[in-house]
Amino acid sequence: MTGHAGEIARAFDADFARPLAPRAANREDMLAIRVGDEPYLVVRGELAGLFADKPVTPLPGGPPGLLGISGFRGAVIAVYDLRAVLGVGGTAGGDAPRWVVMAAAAPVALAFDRFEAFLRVPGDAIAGHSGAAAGHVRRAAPCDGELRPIIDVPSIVAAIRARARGEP
Amino acid sequence: MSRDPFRYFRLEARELVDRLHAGLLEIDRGGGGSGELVRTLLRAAHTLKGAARAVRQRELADHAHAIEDALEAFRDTGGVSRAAIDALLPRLDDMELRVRALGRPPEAEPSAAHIVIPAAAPAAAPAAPAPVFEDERALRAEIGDMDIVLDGVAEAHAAVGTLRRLAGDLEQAHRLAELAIDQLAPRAGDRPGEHAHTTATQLRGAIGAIDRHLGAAIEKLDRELRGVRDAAEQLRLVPASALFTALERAARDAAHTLGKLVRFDHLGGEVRLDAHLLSAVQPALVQLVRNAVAHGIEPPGDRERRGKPREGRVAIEVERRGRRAAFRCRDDGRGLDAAVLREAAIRRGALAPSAGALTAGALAELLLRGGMSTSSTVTEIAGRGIGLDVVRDVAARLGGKVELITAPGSGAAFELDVPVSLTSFDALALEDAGTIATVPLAAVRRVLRVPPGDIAATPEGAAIAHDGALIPFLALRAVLGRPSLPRTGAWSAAVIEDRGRRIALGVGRVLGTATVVVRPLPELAPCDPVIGGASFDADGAPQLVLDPAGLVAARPRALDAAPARRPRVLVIDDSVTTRMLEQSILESAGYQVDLAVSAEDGLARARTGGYALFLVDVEMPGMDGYSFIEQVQRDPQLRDTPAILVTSRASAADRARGREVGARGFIAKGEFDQGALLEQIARLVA
Repeated sequence: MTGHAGEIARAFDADFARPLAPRAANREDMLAIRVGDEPYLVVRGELAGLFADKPVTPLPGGPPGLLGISGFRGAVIAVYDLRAVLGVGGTAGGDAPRWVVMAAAAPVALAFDRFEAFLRVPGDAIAGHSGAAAGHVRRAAPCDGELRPIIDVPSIVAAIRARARGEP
Repeated sequence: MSRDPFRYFRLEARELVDRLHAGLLEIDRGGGGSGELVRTLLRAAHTLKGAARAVRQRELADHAHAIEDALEAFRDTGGVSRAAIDALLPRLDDMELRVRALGRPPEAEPSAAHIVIPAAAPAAAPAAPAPVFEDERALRAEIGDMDIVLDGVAEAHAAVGTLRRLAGDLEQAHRLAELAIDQLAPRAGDRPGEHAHTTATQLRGAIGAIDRHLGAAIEKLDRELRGVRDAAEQLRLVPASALFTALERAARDAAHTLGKLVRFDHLGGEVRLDAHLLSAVQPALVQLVRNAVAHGIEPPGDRERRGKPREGRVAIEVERRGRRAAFRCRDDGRGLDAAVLREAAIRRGALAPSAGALTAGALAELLLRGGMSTSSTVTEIAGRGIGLDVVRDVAARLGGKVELITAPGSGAAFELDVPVSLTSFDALALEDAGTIATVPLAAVRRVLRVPPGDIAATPEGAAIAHDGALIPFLALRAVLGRPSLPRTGAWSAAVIEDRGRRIALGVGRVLGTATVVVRPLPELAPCDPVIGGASFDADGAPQLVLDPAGLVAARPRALDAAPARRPRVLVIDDSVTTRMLEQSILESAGYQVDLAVSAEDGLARARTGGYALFLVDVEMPGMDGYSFIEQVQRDPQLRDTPAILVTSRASAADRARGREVGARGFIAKGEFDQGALLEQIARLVA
């Protein structure tokens, strides 16, 4: 990994290596990402690391969305494609997702197509679903003039656990 | 002085106590031992005495001295008496406890009050404390393995020293460059040429030297650090033989107590497993060994009457089976009498009186519940039950299972089968369709060359004749589910065997053997059971390790016997090197390849039709790769043909632009990966 992507990843590594500071009053740190071409946000506190261009070894006969396994700090970790988990169609054809984030709650990595920015979002700008929570998106926040869905990483991890157990 | 003054002494003392323990048991087995073996033990005891005195451990030094005294009489002749061994073993137990307690808080220290050194042979029951080392540190790595790590660290450190020196040279070169710039600056009435030439010459020399040495130093550091990583991984793994001394001791003590003659054998000591796992199974194995001696092995007189050797045999066998390890305790005793056990269980209310005959599985389950005796006569010892619940607990904690194989009169075998977290073995590395996988060398029977004509299409799938039998033929690419073309040439094949069943695994190339440290697959990555785990390659990427049991159980698929359709790929690149490299990769993977030297040339060829894919360089004189794809997208005849961009520019913006114009894939020249290229192409032309 070289150039800009390398700098971003290094800065994030350094950030993730620091203990998580108490959440600033009414602010949440987030990552702006693209899954396929769709814009999303993920909460930094739900993640344990951000990586680019990690080699992923495919596995035969895995559940849907399992891209394979990759090595992270000496451990073998399952890597799932967020496109498949969220049901987002990819437009990049043969391109495998380039970026991955490690979930904080479980040893699993989630792959996506593009990392765009690191944001600090004011709490009052975050909108929750008024009704029952839907799928893996329960909140949204503005970013670059558009309202972006916030991916609920623990909910994704729970779905992956269910898939790994062979549940639908 | 380090904060732990006993750090090194503990290591040395444990090693010496172990050596003494194993040596005494060897002497006991060998009917007294040779003078040479006794002298080896005398040296160990003497070294331990000196070391203990140096760290002021008087009790340990006294024990070592007493061992020297006891063995001295046998220095030349050997033939140590059993009584002498009986007296020495408890000393070693005490030494072991004292060494383990060193450096711990005072309350953990063993006190003289509960350490009893009997003068004569011990009369303890089999359940008395034997050297069971629950602490995983007792099952420590071998000194040789640690030496390899330390050597590697020393070498790597030396390489860092070279790098540091080179950094100094670089600083010097920087200063020279500053000087040269200064000297080259135009000044009125000055003649800069001569000085500047000298400085520039020095600068060239300095940079040349750095250039030569830096690459070599980095290469060396990289090599050494890889070696350190491999050796450090091995350190976590301990040969199963580390268990045997304690188990042999347990067998010996139980036999003495019960007046039986027992020979302890072992198999599979070379299997390397995670020290945590070995520590966890040790108490269960000690229990199984004691149980075998107490309840399986008959008294010498009984054995003689049954036509068996007077000395019974208890054996521990360790075997690694893909993702699992099996620990078997086998004896040649009386076996388990299902009828007697059934009656005992009914008496205890553990079984309904109406229950039928017990199967081996039901028998094992009953015994593992605890409180049951396998002895047909209830003595004080046997009547207490056999404590197999320890085995059950260990199996449950490790996610394993216990199996029982028995036949009345001819012995019993309990097998503890547990999943392994980390293991290491010699493996054969295989490559097929751009993917590398390894298979345990112990399961490989032969490597063959298989021409396509030697593969038969049977109703059950592809098969080849081997050693007079038809065995299933599986292609590695199919086993791994990798999209690829049918192979046109001959295969290499590894014949893999597991529990008597064989298959031939067809691959493109056999790469050779290597020792691999295998990790289990993560829980959240369930997959086909042909995969036994993963190891890391030199770049830290996971490499799949095949499981022989999974392979022989895999269903062979029919090979495509029809002549292969060979898709045509058009490679467009102005660099002859890149064209040739891509052509050779694609042709070896079974594609037909045409070449174009520019985007304009490529467009003309593309319009002749028949291409399954375009592989296009981005930077070319004249029309570039992006424009080529734009042109292709505008042509209704060509727009459905996928194009992959190949470039040394791999920024996010470049990728975004590629996607924008309609590229279906992106290969960065700097990260050129043959497997990834073939995989992308295969996916797009499928």
